[in-house]
Amino acid sequence: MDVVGQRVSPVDWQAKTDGSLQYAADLVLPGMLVGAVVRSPHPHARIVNIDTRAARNMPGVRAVLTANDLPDRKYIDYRPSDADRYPLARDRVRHVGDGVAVVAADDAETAVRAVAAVRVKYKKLPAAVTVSEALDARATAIHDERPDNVSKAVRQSFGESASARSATTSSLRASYRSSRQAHATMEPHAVVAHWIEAERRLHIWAPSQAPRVLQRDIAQVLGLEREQVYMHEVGVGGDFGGRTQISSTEALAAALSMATNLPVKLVHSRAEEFAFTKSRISWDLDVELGCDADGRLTYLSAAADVDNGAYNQAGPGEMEYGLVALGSSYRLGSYDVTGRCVYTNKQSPSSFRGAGGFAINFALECVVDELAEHIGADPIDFRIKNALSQPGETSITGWEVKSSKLIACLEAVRKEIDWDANRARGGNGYGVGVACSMHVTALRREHMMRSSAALDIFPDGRVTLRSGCGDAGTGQKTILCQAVAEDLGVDAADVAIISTDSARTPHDSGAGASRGSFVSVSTVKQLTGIARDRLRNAAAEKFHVDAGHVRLEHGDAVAPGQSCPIGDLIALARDGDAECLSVTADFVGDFNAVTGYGYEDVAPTYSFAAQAVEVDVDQDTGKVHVRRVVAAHDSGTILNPITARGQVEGGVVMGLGAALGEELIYEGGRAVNTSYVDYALPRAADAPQIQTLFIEAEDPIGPFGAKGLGEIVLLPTGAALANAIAHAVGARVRQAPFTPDQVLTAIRARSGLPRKAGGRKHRPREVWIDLMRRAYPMGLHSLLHRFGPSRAHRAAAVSDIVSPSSVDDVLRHLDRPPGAGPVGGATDILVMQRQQLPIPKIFVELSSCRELTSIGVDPSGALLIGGAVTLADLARHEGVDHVLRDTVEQIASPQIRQAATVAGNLCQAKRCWFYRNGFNCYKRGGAMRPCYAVMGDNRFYHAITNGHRCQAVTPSDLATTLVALDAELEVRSLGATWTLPAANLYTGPGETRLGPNEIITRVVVPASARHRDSLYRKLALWHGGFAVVSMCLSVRRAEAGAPAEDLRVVLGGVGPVPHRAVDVERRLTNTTVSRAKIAAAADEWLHGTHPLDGNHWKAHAARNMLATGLADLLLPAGSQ
Amino acid sequence: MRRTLIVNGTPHELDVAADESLLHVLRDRLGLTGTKDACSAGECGACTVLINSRARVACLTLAALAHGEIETVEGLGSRAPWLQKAFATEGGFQCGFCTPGQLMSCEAIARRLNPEERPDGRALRHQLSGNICRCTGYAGIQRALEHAPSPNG
Repeated sequence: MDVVGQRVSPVDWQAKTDGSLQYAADLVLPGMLVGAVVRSPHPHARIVNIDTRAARNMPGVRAVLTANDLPDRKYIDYRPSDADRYPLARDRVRHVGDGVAVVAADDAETAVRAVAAVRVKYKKLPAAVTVSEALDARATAIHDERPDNVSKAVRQSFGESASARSATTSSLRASYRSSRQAHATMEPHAVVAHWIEAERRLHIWAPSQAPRVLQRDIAQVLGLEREQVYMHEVGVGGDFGGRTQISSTEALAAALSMATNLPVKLVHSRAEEFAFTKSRISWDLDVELGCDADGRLTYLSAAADVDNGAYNQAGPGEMEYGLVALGSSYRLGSYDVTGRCVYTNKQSPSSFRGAGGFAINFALECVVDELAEHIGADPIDFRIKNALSQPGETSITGWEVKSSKLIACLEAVRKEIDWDANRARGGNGYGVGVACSMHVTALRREHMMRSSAALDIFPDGRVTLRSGCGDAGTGQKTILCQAVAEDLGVDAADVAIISTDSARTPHDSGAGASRGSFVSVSTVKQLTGIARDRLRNAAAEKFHVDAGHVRLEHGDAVAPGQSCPIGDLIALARDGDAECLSVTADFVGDFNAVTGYGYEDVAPTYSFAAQAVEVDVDQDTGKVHVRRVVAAHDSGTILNPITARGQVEGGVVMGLGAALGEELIYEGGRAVNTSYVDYALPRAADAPQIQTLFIEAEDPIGPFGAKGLGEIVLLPTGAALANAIAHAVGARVRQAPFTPDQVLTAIRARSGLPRKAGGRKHRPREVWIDLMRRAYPMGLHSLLHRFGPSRAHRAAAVSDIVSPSSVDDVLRHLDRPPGAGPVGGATDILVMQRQQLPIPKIFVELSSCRELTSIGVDPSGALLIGGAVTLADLARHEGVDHVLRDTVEQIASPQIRQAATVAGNLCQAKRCWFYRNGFNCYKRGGAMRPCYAVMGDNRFYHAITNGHRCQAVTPSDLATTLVALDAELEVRSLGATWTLPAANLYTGPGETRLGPNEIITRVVVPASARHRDSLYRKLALWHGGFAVVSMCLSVRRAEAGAPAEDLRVVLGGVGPVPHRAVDVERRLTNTTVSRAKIAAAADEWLHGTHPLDGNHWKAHAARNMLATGLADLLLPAGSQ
Repeated sequence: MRRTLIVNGTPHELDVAADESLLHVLRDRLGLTGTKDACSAGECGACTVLINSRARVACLTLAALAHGEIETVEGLGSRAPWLQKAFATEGGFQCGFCTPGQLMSCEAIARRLNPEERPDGRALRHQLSGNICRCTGYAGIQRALEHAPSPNG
């Protein structure tokens, strides 16, 4: 093939690399309004009354709509039978963030004020925010029609269970849980809607990989005809299933535009994007798998609970499909399954790349591995023996393999990961693991199997394909153009595509269920077949030859002895006197006329994959480092190696994200980690080396022999990683993500070590704090949460910014009341403003003072660092100590380090995810408010020692190191200069002793400390993330290996202020140390910690980091 | 307050508010929408621009303090066409939304490359870690950056 299968650059590369491609938020239309949503603060409540008068009467507010202003219609989402979701809540809100009203205003600030001015009176109802709460017999029904809160139940059996079980000699049962992974598309949800009354037409610019699916639901929910909704082409900043169906934004923007006759833009903030859009559905799966004496699988049984959230989106359908898929990829004698899709009072999740596949593959591929291990079989051999892998083979559920290179994929990863040698040397933290997958290429459902496309061929030889598909970055448009170029024998550069535009393109079902390369390319093939016939007939007429003798190649029609450019044939081939030859094709694939899922060959064909993962697990902390992934894929013919490789690499990293850290965390039904800094998603430095192998074999069904690829890429990843971790540490993790707490807990359980740390039950000086902590679960938390009065302040407007050139001028500005405050790199000030936390009214710039931005060494050898020196400049400076550089280079990102300053880093406010993300907590709202960390998720970023009422910690990593280096801070106020040891800077978490008119002008690292040997280590969830634990050790001794004469042991992230472990220092100073002495000192330190229920693991991790760090620093190299 | 911002070589005289971000000025006042707003919190790098050849997040840069030469993706074509092409041929982008920021970070790194000592893949990954990409798994971006010409030719 000349074009298909070649490295053709994406058709939109120019617009995507020069900034000219417009995404919805980039559009500016005349008179455009800004939309914003009034959301429920409660997980479950009855709406008593909504008073919109004040908002409506505000100047600049153009519309305020509630459910009563919209048609009484629900979204269809996937199936009419599941429909239960309105664009705005009617009578009742069922999750935090449920839309209650929507406003349109002249600008964003007015829209925000209008949202605040809408008064909603609620009557709270008991909320069930977890599956187990919702299934409790006493739980309140979330939808009256489903009193048991089960939206959909499934019970299915395939094969003969009794005989399969009687043949069984070994079996294994285990439970696996997966998390809610956010799609976290880089483009937040954004829509521009414009109702033009004169046209009676609604214009929509909304990103989606399936724009026609959105069009259908926008039209029906607003009571319009489908043709009245004009979907415009616009950039799609990622989809991954999150925008395959309508979200909550499109219809609301449309309704506002219809109410005002003006264009309306509605764009989510990142916090809204995390909290109030779909995510992946989390599954709890219990599975039991058996095999016979020959190691052949006999039966599988499974029970699933799926967290559906407050409304049906993909939930019921995904569960039904997933529970069939679970029994479809291995040869089984029987398969029995039950499932419940359970309503909870949380934002409803929906489709996510893989359609339940991540959760079911994680469970299946782990239990297969566990059973292989149990019977002493090699995991790859065991899979080869049992997996469905032969063309013509049919699973017990009816899936029929059309083509498969699964065994070749498994053999390829075996070779490339050096399986046999590495399996033999595994253990002690190093491991390799494998998993495989089978996935549908499209589903045989009528709506998915129907697609149309059109083609225009112009007299100048240019070809334009018109397809209603959307391209979310997968390269869909590019492969369609390649297919056209291939079949018409023209240059790829001569083929353009118009996509999405519903006035100019015929219907296409879009991407989803890995159908893009199957359905849309099949449609194009049908189309080019028609066009080719028309061109060849025209050429035959022109050349006076039989059409059978005409070939199309290199843009020409060629017959023996004659040729002409295809453009010259248009006059003959076109209809009437049209300006071009236009043809249309309607593809209808083979579909099954069913609605549910049961015994059925569910897809036209299936893709296969095997992935192997190589890991290092830090057994001190549970932190998993993925070294390498080998991904071998059978997706039939690869249509474009550039985009296909990108699918694999991106999919693997997304799968690793789900497996290693990504998880939406909730507290009282409200999302907690609604920012990229709190949601642990892989950064470039976290991504492993990925080796992509395509085992290509033409599929007999797929166009050009191609099968789907975009989803299967992440299906094996989580299980392969879990299996590698098990190999590395000899303990199984069965709950994704495998964050350090999960892994360390599994390692400790393997060794029979207690989960809990901290031997001290009472802290004599903190008795009342301890009493309070104990009273929290007994009702105090709920009391303070519900009734505690708040004195959270309202932010004042920022009025001015000044840039003094001398420190004296800075101090004069600060001394002038009220509300002036110093600004270093300003890397947090606008963030805090948005988080409605206190910031100064007048910004006093420090970087404008040269005396604050210099670094030098004084005659004594002390390092002098100006307070406004940026972290980047500090790390770059030649004279800086390596331990400081190590510290700085793990802080945040290169861009932040370019701006953030040394003093700013030291003085930054606490990063507790409750405090930062809007929870009205003790520190935000005052003494009568609860600390949400006591009962909430406190695994990573809260204190394990010396916690007071607030459990937050000082977030500065630099503080940890500067305390260990005995740094002194030069502090100045007008007319006074004083010196403060870094160790004494803090009074609480991210709270300093500095007065409002004082600044840190200089940090002095004394020569004595610089001569010591020092070491810095940090445990973080992602590269640059805030420290879970940071540690700096510093020792003076006569020579390497000699007893410590002076020792500093400082931990960050473990207590409200940087924690100096004085007892450890004392025990290990002026004495010959041994591994045992170090362990005893670390254990004693551990005994003194006082963790919360969820962060005992962190105390163990910190203790292990201490012990290993001290050994590395203090013991002679040979004794390691 | 009155400020002159030099963007892609062109001076713009503007009244900016004390708490106005450079991102707001670029997108909403100068119409330079190539620079994307994806988190407004300095956490994702989609709004990365160069200020005096250093990569900075425009969303947290106070416009009033944005002294120096500001470069955005719109000005990149004339400076680094190799980078745009390398992104196309190496799979450096998919959805394209983070791409302007990725390109600017890559350009900042490329300008600082030391001809004597090319950073290895791991070092490049660390330097790219301020820019989140949800599509590519970063591999294509790293490959594209490896096309960077040596500063001395």
